[in-house]
Amino acid sequence: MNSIWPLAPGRLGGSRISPIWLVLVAVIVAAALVSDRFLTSYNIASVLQQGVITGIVALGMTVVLIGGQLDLSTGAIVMMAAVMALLIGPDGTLGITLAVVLPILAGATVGVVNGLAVYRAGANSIVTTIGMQFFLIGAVLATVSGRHVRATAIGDAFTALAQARPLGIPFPVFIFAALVIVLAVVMSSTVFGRHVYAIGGDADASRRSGVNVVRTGIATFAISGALAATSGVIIAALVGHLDPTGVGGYEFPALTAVVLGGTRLTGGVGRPIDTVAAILVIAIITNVMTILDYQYPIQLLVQGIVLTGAVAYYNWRGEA
Amino acid sequence: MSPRAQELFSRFFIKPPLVPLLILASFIPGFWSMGNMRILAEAISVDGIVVIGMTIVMIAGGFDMSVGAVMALGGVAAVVLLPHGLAVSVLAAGAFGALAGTLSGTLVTRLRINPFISTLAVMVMVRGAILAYTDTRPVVSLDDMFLALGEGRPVPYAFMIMVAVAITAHVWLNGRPWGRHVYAVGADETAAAMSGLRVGRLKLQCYLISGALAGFAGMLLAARLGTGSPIIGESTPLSAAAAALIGGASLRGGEGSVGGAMIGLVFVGGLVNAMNLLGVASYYQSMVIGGMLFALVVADGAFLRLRSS
Repeated sequence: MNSIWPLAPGRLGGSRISPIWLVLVAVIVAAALVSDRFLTSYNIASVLQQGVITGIVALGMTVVLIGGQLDLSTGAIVMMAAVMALLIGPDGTLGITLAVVLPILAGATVGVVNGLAVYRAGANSIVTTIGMQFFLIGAVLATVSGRHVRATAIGDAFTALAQARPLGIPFPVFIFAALVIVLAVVMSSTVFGRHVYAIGGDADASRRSGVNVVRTGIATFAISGALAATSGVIIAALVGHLDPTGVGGYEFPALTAVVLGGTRLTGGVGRPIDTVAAILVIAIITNVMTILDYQYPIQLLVQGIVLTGAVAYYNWRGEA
Repeated sequence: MSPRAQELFSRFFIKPPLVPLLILASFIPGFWSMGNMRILAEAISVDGIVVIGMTIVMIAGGFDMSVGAVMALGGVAAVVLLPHGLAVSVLAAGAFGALAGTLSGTLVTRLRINPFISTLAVMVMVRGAILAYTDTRPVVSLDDMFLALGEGRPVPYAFMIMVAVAITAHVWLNGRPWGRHVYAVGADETAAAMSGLRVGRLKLQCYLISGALAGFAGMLLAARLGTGSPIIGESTPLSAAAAALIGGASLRGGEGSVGGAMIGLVFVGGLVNAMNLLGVASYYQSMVIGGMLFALVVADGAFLRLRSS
């Protein structure tokens, strides 16, 4: 086993570098060779913008998967949070604060419900969270009667959350970077982080050695829900109004990134920082395909192939 | 009551409360009308064929997330290949489905990828492929023979086909060694392998069957609608899993039956039909089905805890 906690998996910079970083370098070089439009500052900003929204979702799913479970309700949480933020009417200090805080709290609450079902009742996390996904999508569409959502008023400070560009870099990139650093430290250097690796590695053994499996597990889902909601709030700030049926489907590219980044599907192994590299790889591939005029269906097909290939590769390497 | 009668009572009144639902639905004007019964039969027959495949995979301890996308694949393939004759088109729908099922089965058995992830990946690949092929637009058929296949009066052909498939699957699962082997693999894979069963091959066959049935069901749906749409079936894995779970199948494998799944199917179909008659918006239906699946899986997991403690 190459994953004996606490030696290998969590230590930032303390262990070997994941092959995903080599893939990232290769993809950047290939992209620059394929298209001369790739390395323009405008295009790089748009790659980052796209990558960050999926990336924040993927960070939360990484934590859940290190604990050994999957969260596929994240796409619906993104949609719920975006709609909530707009319905609250993010104007004025109070309005903006509520429009940021309430959706994130709601996302965390959904995560707690998922976590209770999975860790308290022992339900299969994939089917549970898909059930939750459809429940949420139905609930949100019922609330807005399936109509386009517009905010009554939007303050400049709120739109700045997504649209400001200090140093020419989109502001969400800074949010993402901050979240990555916090999560990397939490996972590698706190008791909670060690416990998440422990329950993902062997839930029974960690229970016997005194880890509160249920509480730790519920916390991983709460983190995932809160992060997905953060992405939703950023989307709301980015577009200002939206068609709720058009927001969704983030869970699949995010899952692909988590797996591509080397988080093991059975849990116990993985690092948030490696998910970041995988997110960039996927964002770049998607971007280049868009530049080369390969539409969404082909991108979907390629994502499916990347997911299968990544799982097959890590399975093959892990069992050796 | 005898144990047998008790079991029957539980099957129809409690798990699921099918008879209470039907009694309540009687208060909805027009529920029992010929027209509505036909609509109900049409709705559940296409889903029912998918549920049978899903149940077989679940008995073997797997899951098939790709059934909705494979349905769309079957429908599109059938319509596109119609110029070569009805027989070719019908067979192609099943064959393309079987191909997708074989891919899922190979990922599960050869590459040892978790069945949810394998079939999720196949779902995305199939969906991407048909969206690309059709340029995201539905393909339309005006072939009389093909459209007639989607008709049938007073009983829709699709319903008769579903009943035939259900009986065949029931006989295979209960009356043949193959069925016993599938249950054995689902209940305890290691034990099954040690007693000489070819576990990998059996599981692959289950995914192949599920894929072929989903493709075939998609063809029937396309015949009824006169179109093969690349976007149909998004929630099919969800409602199919709900019907199978209600019918006594378990995500742990080794349990479930075609008869139970058919009761689950009528329950879910009847619920949706009643909601349609009452004019309940589709969003609420998504909430009800999603919430029901959530509750079912929680109950499924809690049952495991009770038994093991």
